[in-house]
Amino acid sequence: MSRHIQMSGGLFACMMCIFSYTAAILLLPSALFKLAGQSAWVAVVLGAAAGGLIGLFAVYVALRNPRMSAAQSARYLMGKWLGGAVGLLYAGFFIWIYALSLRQIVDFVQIMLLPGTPNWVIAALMAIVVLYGVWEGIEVTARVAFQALVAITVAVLALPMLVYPEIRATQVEPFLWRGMPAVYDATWLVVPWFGESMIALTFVQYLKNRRLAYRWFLVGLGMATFLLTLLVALGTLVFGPDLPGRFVFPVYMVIQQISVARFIERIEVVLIMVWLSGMFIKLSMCQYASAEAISHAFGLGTHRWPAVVMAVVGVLITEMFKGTLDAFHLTTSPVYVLTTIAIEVGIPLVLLIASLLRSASQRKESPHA
Amino acid sequence: MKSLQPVRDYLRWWRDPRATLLGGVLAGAEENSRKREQAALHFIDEAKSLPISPEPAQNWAVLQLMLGAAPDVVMREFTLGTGKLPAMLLFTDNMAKRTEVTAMLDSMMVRLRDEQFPTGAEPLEQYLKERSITGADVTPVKNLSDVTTKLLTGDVVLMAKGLQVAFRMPATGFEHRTPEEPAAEPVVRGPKEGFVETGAVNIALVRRRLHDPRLRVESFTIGKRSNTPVTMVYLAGVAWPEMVDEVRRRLKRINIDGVIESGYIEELIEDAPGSPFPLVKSTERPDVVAGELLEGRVAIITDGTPHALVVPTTFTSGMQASEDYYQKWPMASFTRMLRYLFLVVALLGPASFIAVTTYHQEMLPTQLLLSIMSAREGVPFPAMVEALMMEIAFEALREAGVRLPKPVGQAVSIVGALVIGEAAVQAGLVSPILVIVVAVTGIASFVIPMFPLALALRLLRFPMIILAGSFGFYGITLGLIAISIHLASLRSFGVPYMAPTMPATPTDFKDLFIRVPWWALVNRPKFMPVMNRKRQEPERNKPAPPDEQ
Repeated sequence: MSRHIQMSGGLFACMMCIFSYTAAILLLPSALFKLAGQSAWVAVVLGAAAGGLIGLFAVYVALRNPRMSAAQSARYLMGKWLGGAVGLLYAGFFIWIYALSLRQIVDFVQIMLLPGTPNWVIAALMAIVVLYGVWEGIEVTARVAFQALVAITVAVLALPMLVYPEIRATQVEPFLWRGMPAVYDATWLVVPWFGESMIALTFVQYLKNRRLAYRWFLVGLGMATFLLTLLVALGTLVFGPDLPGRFVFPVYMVIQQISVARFIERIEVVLIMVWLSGMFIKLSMCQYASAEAISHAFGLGTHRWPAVVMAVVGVLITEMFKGTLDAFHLTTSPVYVLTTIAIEVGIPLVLLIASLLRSASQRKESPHA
Repeated sequence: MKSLQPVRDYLRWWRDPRATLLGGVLAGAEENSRKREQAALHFIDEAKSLPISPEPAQNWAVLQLMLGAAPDVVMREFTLGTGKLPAMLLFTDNMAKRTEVTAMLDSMMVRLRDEQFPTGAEPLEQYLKERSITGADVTPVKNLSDVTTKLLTGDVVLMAKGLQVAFRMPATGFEHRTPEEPAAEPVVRGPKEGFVETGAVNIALVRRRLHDPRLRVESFTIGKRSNTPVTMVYLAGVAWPEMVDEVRRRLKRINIDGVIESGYIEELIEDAPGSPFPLVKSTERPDVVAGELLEGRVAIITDGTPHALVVPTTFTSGMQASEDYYQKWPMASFTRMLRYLFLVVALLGPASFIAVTTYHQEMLPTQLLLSIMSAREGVPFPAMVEALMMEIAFEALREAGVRLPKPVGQAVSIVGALVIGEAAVQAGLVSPILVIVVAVTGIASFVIPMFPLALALRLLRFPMIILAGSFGFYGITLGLIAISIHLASLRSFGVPYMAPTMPATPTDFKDLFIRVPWWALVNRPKFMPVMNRKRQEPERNKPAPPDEQ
């Protein structure tokens, strides 16, 4: 399955960038503003650094096993049953992220664009398009990711200029006004979002030049951090330190302030299109990672049919949520944050330990090797 | 009906087990035309193994049987030289050039009548090469299948008594159109010459632009019944050998009864036949083919059509007109960017209008929204149905304009555009604003230089309208993502169709949305596998003021 797939470092960076910050744009800033006020951007930087460490650890583990995905190396290192179980945990984690992200899309589109359209229709339409992308292969998704990243970067960089008249520098508080403890509290919320970058366990194997894996990973994550930090800082500059924490979607509220020559107004729908293209990449990566893990855990020859099953499961999980607020409370609860971080660190850690044990036993068996 | 006795004599001479079988199918063929037809088909199936009899009359009888006594296949009997060697000259009327045939007959019957013609096959071939007017082009033919093929492609065939070989002499010269400006690819600046229906002329038109000994012309015959001459053209030392091999392999793989137009070949060699996007470029312009060959591509010229094929091709290649390289680069860049803008309009014009007016009215300034709403007042259809009706009517008018004779076509266009459009607006069936949207979209699709690419976009416009009418901009986004996935998955002879954007090769952006000056286009496109990357020496070509030179 992975033999013929090759991806350049640039495309890998594009995918990691979009994956790490697109979904976080909507839900995360509100909680950060609530906890850290205008220092939310500092929390983003710190949280991204901590989450990035998890990702770097995953890249290190992936590089130890040449050209193998997480589930493949788990099966290789730990055997059919234990390895299969780790593979299933990995697949389950990413189908969960898939469902959570899809739920964000469903709620947002239903509230802002298509009130009255049933949830499942919005979810199913996106799931079908994502499935088409995954069916065509990860190379195709990576190419679309480049296109999406260009659009997202242009949109985010243009945003400060478009909302420039609404920026009030006078409402900015002194730096770290609420103190570092508040920032630390907010940082914890950021870590799981960026820790999801341990999905690199699936994609590092496809890199053309694996020696540059760390560099391209850091480029992707660095871009994601910069873009998210910019958007969060913009929230403070436009609405001040307190108001953004009361919005469910503060970044969306910033976008709504766009007014150019009193003619180009309320163009948030165009920016939502750009955001949706990024979400498509995130969903595709999650679905691919889970489908590939299932395929390797069960020793199947293709990722395509598991992807169909994963799409159905993902949509069903999406339907189980009660709505955005439900997801919001869940993702900000300490139990969820700790569990997520535990899984994000745990899976690569288990793989590393298994790999070290295997190397040690091999050395013991052939001391002259 | 003509006697088949000479055919039986031929089979008796052949003395082969297959001759007995063919003799069997001749039973009753003299009286019954259907049986004669069946026998002819059997002989054609076996033609490759039918040798040339030393008795020309027998060969002629078999050929007549196979060709159904075609009146345009002409036979002239005469004797050669002082030895009075009986001979026969065969040609197809109007396929072979009359002046050439006359000159050949004159050469053999008059000019050389007092000469002693040699009697053996090889001496006679040598003699014809040295003395006859056709010179070195005389080539031996050893079976009746080849004789038939040569005759039907316009060559002249000479058969002489006592020889088990015939001689083919080229005389192809049927009437053909003179090169004129292609109607579908006109330019303001640039050559006004286009390909014609004759393959040989088309190759000459390319050679006229590339006087390079490395220009390779390789010929194939495709089509079991049409035997269409097809030529593969490439620049050795520039084109990637594996790509040339791949084109050759795909051409050789074709197994079809006839190739009437290059479209047949296009569909038989492209990578994704289900895609609406053109994965093989077709052009009527020799200058375009020459330019593509210089970038390492391979051209396929099919006899009988003015449309040459070029592989591999990319999406961006469809957005580049030949004139972009003839005009000054700022103007060329401007028009190219304009094309990309209108590409978006061509695909999303009506869909965006529907999405905005149906779901996202807040995007419009109040005054504009009020104008649109007042224009739509009284229209009994939803915007989606209205747009679909208008688009279908527009496509029908366009199709009618192409198919009808020119004077009538113009009348239909006027009736369609003015009378029906105006009447529909007056009757309140469609809103005037939608007429404007559809018209602008129509113009936008004609801005795209590659016609099949414009067709693909026109086709995709319909699902986009339905998606926009059903789900607003959410539907449009999903449609665009699906199109992006499809485009990113396409390859043309191994080259990604969306190169140089997906995957991105920034060095090729010099000739993408803009076209940088010629002196800055130092290398051939990076996404193209080529043998020689360098196109020019920039330090010699970059213009500089006289004091700096």
